[in-house]
Amino acid sequence: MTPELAAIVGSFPDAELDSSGLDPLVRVPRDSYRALVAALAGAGCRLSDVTAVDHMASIEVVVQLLASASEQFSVHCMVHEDDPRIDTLVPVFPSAEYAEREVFDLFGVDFLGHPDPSRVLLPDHFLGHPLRKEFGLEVAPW
Amino acid sequence: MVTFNRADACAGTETVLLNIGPQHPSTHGVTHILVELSGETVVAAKPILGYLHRGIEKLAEYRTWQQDLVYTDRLDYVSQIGNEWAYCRAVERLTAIEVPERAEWIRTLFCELNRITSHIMWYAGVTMDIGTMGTPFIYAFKARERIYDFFEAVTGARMMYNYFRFGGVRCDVAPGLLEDIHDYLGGEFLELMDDLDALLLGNEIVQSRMKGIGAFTTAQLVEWGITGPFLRASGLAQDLRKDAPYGAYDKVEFAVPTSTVSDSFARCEVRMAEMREAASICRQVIERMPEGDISVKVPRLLKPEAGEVYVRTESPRGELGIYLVSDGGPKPYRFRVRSPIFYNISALPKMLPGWKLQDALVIFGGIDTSMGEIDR
Repeated sequence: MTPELAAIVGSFPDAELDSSGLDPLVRVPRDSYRALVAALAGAGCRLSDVTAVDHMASIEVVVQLLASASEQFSVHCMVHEDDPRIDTLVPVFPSAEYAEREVFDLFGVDFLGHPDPSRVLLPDHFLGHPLRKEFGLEVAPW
Repeated sequence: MVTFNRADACAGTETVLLNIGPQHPSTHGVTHILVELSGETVVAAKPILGYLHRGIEKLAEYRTWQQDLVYTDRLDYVSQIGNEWAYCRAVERLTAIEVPERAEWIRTLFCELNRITSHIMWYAGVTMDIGTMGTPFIYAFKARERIYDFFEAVTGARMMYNYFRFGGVRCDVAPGLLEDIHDYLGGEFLELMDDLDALLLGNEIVQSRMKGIGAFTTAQLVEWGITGPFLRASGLAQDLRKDAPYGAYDKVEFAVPTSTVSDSFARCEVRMAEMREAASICRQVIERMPEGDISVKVPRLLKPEAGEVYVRTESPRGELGIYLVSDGGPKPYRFRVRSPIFYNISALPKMLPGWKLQDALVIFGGIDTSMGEIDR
């Protein structure tokens, strides 16, 4: 991660930069999530992907960002299973729209302020969010 | 009760909703685009996805790391090797497996052969879209058949190869076959490419249908998350094979074709040039392929240490990312595919409005969709 981007992360007191993994990783609480990503976007970062990982009690929203064509890092934000809401990134990165719809569809995370908060891969009448760990393969909720 | 309103009838201000697909012949699979038309002009468009959703990301969490390799063939089923390679690279990066030199060259060879067959599918689709009724498509499939024969000789399969393994490839390539591939790509294939160029780029009807259609700026395309040949046709030479080289890409000479015109015709020119470049890469790889091992020994039940990895590769359609999370167990905790065409097709609502319906299909053809990877 470039010093410039590390300084942006450092300007958010609740964001934590972890360089122990294969790629740099920034953990940020929900309150500063969009402000941090917007600041990184302002410094020229490009969006590669928005996805999520279910950790049973909480869901981790993962944003893959590109500092340059070859340099990548990610921003992680935990949301609690009982209150799975997070700000949308669409105003910052318009290309996040469908990826966030997919995270809503498969994980049940609500993106606040999303222009089209609807399912994208599964039909509208589908019950449940299949990439949640409690959604087993044997369960057909209809 | 419907009452006749003369003003409405004459002014023609009503719009019409038209479903393109999910089984329209021009949609390359089960694509469904809902377009709102005012006369013949598109005022709004929305891709409706998911008809081919098989839950591969969920299924992958219930299979071992090795078993998941089989699913990657079935993501983008016209660029199978590219998907296998992306997944193998991700697992190899996560577990720090070193791939032998010869295996990297073999991977590069087959990935580029696959890029040619994948672009041939695009060629078939886009020419059908503009109403050529199959002639260029059948010509292009001559090359696809020959290349599929090469794949069959090595992997035993024509489509679902399952050829890559963590740390290498499944089996070596027979020396005679390498010469055959080299001869074909240096001779017959290039002659066929001249025909294909003439049928598409040299065709007056194609030019009049495509030139100036779907012209977007680089800034727009970057904002919409577009990658791959679609973006390169706007002048930005963004190609992970150059930007973050893997395999043997840093050891061979090749150009990244771009165009500054950024219309549907430029996208055709870029893809045709990419096929020639891919053939040139294949021939260089065969000429300079080192001897040696083709794989390393990897535990039968792989258990990567807990951690996560994100790897991006250049698929024929753009930036293909694989994001894996391991909890130290024999199965992935999370298996995520960043599909380039999922992002590309999601830009349709921004691309299509303002164009005529027949132009919208040409623009859509420039995306080169493969529903298997969009819906996963």
